[in-house]
Amino acid sequence: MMELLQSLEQMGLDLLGPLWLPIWTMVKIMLIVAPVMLSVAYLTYAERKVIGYMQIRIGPNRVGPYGLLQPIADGMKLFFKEIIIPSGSNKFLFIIAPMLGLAPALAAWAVMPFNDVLVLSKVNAGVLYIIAMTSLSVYGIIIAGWSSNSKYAFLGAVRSVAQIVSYELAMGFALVCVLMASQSLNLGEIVMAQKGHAGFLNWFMIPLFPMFVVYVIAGVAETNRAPFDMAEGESEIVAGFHVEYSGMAFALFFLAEYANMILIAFLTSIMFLGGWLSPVPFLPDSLVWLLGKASFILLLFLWFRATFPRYRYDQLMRLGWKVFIPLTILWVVVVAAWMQTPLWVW
Amino acid sequence: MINIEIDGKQVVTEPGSSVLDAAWKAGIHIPHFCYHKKLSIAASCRMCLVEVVKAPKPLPACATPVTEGMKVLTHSEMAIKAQKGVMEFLLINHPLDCPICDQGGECMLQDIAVGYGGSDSRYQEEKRIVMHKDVGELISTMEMSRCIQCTRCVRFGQEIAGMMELGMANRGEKAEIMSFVNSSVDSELSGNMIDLCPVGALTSKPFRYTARSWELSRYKSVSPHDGMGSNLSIHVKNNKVMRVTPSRNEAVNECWLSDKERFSYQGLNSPERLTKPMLKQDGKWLEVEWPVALEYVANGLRDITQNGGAAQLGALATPHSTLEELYLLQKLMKGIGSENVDFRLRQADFSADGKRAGAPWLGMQIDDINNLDRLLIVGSFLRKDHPLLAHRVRQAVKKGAQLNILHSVDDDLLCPVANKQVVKPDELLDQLLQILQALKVASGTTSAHSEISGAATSIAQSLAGGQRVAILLGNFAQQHPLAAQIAVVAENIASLSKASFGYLGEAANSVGGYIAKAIPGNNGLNASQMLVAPRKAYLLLNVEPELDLQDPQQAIAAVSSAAMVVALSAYKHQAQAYADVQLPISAFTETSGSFINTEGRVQSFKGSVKPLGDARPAWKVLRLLGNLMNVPGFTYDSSEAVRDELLSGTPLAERLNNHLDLPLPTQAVKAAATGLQRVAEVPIYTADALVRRSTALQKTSDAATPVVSMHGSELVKLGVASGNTVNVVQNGVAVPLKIVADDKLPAGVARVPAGHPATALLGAMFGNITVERS
Amino acid sequence: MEKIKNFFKTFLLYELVKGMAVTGRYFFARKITVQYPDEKTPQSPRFRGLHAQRRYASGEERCIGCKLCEAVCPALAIKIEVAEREDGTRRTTQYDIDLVKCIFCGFCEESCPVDAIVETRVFEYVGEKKGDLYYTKAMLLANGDKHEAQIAKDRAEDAKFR
Repeated sequence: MMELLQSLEQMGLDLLGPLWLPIWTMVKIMLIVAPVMLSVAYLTYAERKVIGYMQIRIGPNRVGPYGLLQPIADGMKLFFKEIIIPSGSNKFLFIIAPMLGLAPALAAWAVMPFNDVLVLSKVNAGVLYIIAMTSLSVYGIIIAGWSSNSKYAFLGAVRSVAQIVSYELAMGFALVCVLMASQSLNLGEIVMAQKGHAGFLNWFMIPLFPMFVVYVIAGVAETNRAPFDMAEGESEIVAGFHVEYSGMAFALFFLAEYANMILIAFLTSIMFLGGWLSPVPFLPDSLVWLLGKASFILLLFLWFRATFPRYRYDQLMRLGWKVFIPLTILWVVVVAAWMQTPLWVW
Repeated sequence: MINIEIDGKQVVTEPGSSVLDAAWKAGIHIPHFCYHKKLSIAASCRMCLVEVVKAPKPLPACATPVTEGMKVLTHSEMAIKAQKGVMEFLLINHPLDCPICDQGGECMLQDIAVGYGGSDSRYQEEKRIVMHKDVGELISTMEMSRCIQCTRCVRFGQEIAGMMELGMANRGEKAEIMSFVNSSVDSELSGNMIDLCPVGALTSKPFRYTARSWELSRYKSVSPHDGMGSNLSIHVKNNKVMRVTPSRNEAVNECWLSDKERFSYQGLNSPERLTKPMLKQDGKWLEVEWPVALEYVANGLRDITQNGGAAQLGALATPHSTLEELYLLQKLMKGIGSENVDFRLRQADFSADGKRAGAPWLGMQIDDINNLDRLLIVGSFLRKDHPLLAHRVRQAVKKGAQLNILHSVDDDLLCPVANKQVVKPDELLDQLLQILQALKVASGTTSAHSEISGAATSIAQSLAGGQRVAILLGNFAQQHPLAAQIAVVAENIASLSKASFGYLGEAANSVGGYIAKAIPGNNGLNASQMLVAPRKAYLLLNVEPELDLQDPQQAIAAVSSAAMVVALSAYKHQAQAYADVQLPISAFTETSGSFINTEGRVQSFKGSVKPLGDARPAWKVLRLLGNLMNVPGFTYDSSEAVRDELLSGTPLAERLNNHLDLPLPTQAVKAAATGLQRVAEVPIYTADALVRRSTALQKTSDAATPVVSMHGSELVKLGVASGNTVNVVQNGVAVPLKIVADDKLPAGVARVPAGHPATALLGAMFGNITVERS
Repeated sequence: MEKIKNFFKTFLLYELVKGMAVTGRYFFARKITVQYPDEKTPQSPRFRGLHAQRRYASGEERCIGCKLCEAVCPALAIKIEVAEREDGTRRTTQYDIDLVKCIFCGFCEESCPVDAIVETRVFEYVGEKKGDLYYTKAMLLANGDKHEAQIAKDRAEDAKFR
């Protein structure tokens, strides 16, 4: 496959010369974004199905066979719905906010490695780039909340942003452990650092298990998913920061949320679950492993939602600041100390 | 006093009272059907069986007198067994279809069956069926199978109404309540049987199937009809008066109501109600808004005041109007400058005006009538004019009072009359003078006089022999052309016989009119003068001139010639022909107000329903007219404010005085005895605007088209037979009426009712009248 | 010991895993969804659906206008006017049920002494414009005529429990 890609690139270069590079990049972006968006669409379908099953229901089954066309129908609906712009809103910011929400979620995919060579850009500081990009989505939320000129939207935005900022810290410290263990900021190298002869025992999940748990939970909080979806808080603030949005503008927030989920799932797989590496030595490494691992993390997200009731906001903050951050800092020290001993075998 | 014990409670009660009374006093309810406080005891229903310790069988509580140390158990095993048994027997023949029954929801049998009966019946056989009977337009007997033979209605007829119109025929299972062969129940108190009936056998015919008791809101009110001022309970559903029942007031109407008061509510919802202010423009009636109509009236009145003087305005009001309306009307008129205002529409003799010491009233409390032992009633169609007062007189007579009558007709009063003198109208005064003379002779102040008739002597003797004596003047005496002199003589008779002297108030506010000063001022014209000398403008408050006035011919002529007639009325009536403005005012259920009844009791009431259409309470209309005419002092914001203003100052009791400052006539002036004299009563169901429009009352026998009745010898003279149609002529106007022989009437008298459309073209209620063969 | 146990339970997220085990188990449980237009749940003879007014076999309407249903209706959805019919019987001149107000509690049915107002098994009805769900006497009687067989069967089935 690599040969195929390389020959394709070579052919283009021969044909168009320097003009080919942007075109080829665009093609590669499309090759990443299109499947991501498709996954987003079917993640919503999967969510409804999975939660439905867990609640002894069937879930969507009317549009297409097994309801498979449901996300398409939803998309069409949202596409044709009017975008209502509240009269008291800041029109420019109101429109720009959903774009600011979705764009970083997609941009982060630029440094995502799918196997040892298949990556859009091999950035050495890939982890920093991703942290920077995911942090940017906070702006989309706060701008949406503020520009709506609605108290519910604003409260939702404040909640949401405070929550994301808080959990980013814990998430960051968890990643520090990974970086220490892998001695690299390049995502591809992080994966390769988990390669060994013992299969899944080489993965960072083993020595950094508490960090893995913290990372997954913080990931749930980062994406404002249940049980940390205070930002939506139907009972108190209607729907949170996007309460005034409708149609495609709303759909963008929706896409951003699910794109973020998928991103977190991929990152978790890469950081802790050995990315595309095979869990057992006798099977070859492959993209399929990565997809499988990410899917499992996504399933966990849905499972959480079906199982846990929503946190109270002060509990959420207590968990973030008083449990996760001390725990992760402690683990950084533990890992640092551990790595100086011969007991560190990863 | 006797001490007994009921259900462990010690009760002290008077000797002779029943166990049921004693239990009532102790707050213990004993179920009963046939027992009624105002009726004799029948003990026929057996529902009130209680256990009396040491008595071998349960005893009926209503018929068991208390004895010292008696121990009564109302909930013992024996009592409960007895009650359950009686209930089961009562329900054997009673249909169990309460959902259809009009009484459902307010039924004693239903309540007591739930409270004391068993849950099911063992009776499997056929139930008896009692065919319905037609007893007239007021009482529905469609469901006679429901009767439980308590005989309350029968006892009511015998003891309260004075005429036994229903009776129980046959025995055992065939026992039925029925009227005498095909006759209807015509008592003017018949409606009370509906209230008395503990089941749904006797129900109200006009109310039948129109509403359920639980849908009705009840409001207290006061009857606007006769001078009694009966307390009413107005039952309202969807802002519509559905029926009227009595509100208990022992001092006034006890728990009774005359049919007039009970069924007149139908007039409230009459299609004849005026609902929009109307103006006459070029002979056509236009509906207008209130401001337009009021502005028109104010301009018209101002115009006439400026061009002809305020004295050209005249105001007439019915005594059925509220105190506040009458007060504001006279205040408005006097504020404009006219003193021509009057409410005594049917009065002929106004010579007492200015000589009165106070407002004429009954001279005693209504409930004292029951305790009188000697009574002289002068010129009163007592039963028809004052149905509930007549009932009180009957109760007095039943207790042994002697009733003396002086009148021009001899209607059955349904009680024994000790002495009666029936004379021609113009001999009334003479007869009274004879009674006075006889009293003087008896007391020795004068020597015997040959002209004293035997009847006068016996009346005088009767009066002199009593302890609690009353002399009462009825409507006929008050409307008599010599009313003032009659009153003076009656007052003298009263003082000689130490009797109380009073007037039977004709209408709800006959006393209130005087208190409200709705009578002409010193320079004003009274009701009669206003018509004799027609005014340029008339304000008619509730008045229907052709029916409400002493002389309809004069009245019609006067209002027809007037430049402006403003009719404040709840109804579209004949005013359409001569009025220029019709202002819709609300009926008594739609306004707040007060009536002062004949005993001087002020009874205020609130509106029960919203005014129909655009009708407004008359006091508000008059208030606004006062504002528009710039009359000072019209700033009231409630009818209570009006009432308080007019009742402040001298206590009401001191404003009531029957004394007349007139010389005692020595010899009655006898008119030349030529031709027939008219005796006119106002038939009970045409006496006021409301009853005239009550459809059910208009179908009763009391509302039948009037006939002219005369002594049989007069018929022979005329050469006509009873039942023929004759022409009754008064002042050149002939009215065809049926003639009926009535040998109880004195010769030389033609009894022709007034106040009825059929006789509205005739002249004054008194005077000469001619009857011709047609 | 208990404390140590609790410590590990807390840090190993024991409760959370337990909760997820529950939902996880249900994931594989038999689904109870009824695919409504294709499948329908069984109805009891006491089912309380659209109202109907019944008639006797003679064609005479059962309702006698006692107004008990109007009185008992907790939602004040019933409006009745009653008058005497020419034959002297008590009959309704107006019998309206506002199904928008109705809460289908079945009290009207229960209070009816003649089984005139009943609730049928019909629950699939719509109103396309305002006022369509305001059922008048004629509409209710028509309902009764249409479903009489089913209504009578249901009453008979339930009779022994009433």
